[in-house]
Amino acid sequence: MAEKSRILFTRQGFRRGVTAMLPVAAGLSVFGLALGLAAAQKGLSTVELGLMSAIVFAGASQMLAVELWQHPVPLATLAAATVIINLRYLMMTAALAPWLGPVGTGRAYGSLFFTADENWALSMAEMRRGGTDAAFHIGAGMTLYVVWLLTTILGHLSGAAIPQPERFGLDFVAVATFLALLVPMWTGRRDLPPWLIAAVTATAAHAVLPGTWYLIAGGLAGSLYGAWRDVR
Amino acid sequence: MSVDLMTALTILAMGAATYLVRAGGFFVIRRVQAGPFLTAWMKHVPGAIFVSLVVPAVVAGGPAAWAGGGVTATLAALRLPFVVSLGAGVATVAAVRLLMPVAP
Repeated sequence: MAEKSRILFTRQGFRRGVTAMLPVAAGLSVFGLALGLAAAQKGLSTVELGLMSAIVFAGASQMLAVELWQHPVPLATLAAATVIINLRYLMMTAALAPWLGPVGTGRAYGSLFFTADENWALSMAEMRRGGTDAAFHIGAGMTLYVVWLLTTILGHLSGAAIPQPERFGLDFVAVATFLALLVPMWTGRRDLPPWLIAAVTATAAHAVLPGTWYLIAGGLAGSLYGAWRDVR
Repeated sequence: MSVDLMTALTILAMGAATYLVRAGGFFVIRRVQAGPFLTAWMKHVPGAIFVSLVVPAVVAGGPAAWAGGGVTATLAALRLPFVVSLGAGVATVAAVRLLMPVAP
């Protein structure tokens, strides 16, 4: 792990984040189109959906909000559901502290706004490789943000997303991204027990719990076991 | 092209809720004195979350996802570039679905 004093925040780091995100964002654009299409059918206007993508910028919770959309709009329900779906970010942004801690409050809290699963994953992988340029995170995040905003609006306007995106395997892009980043994180056999516990817990929770609780269950079980084993 | 007031308030509430959890984890971790347990825990969070993101989706995804996951994992383990492992996995999923169509 890098020394605090050596953490940078440069234009080059930002650009590297942009480059790393581009292939992932291209695949995820299908989900933006799909959300735009669904929102149009639920009667949200283009401006309303654009505002939601710009202000909320969180795919799973936006998809749920569109699913539950009705008049009068259930504000309290949607706000509560958003917190629950996005609870995983508490754990995820805490893990960004080695990068965002030393770069100053403005840069840190600005970068945090642009945190999504995909750029967080790219950032953690970059951090593990010894990357010390924290601007990587917001570079990748802003790239995803722009693609997300444009594709949700485009999906809404077009009214016709890519026909059957699953025919091209595009629904697998997100999973393949996390998998391709997970494999190089393997440091040896000591990783096996916490990873196994995370896998079993998450798979079981996925089968019985709604929404994204399985991520919280698996993430907590695996990481807490690993920590307990390391310090006992 | 209009924005309903209740809709605008709901979107703002969702945005505030999301930013709260995005900033919250970092805010708290900066303000607690990280002991050995917390330090070890933070080290294990990324792996555990990545595994939790991947495994249930691959397990539930059927033969196409199993094959695609196998290809992506193998190529990543062989240290091929990220884009290559990603693209080959996605292409495998598409190929398997083409060869073994399932009724919708």
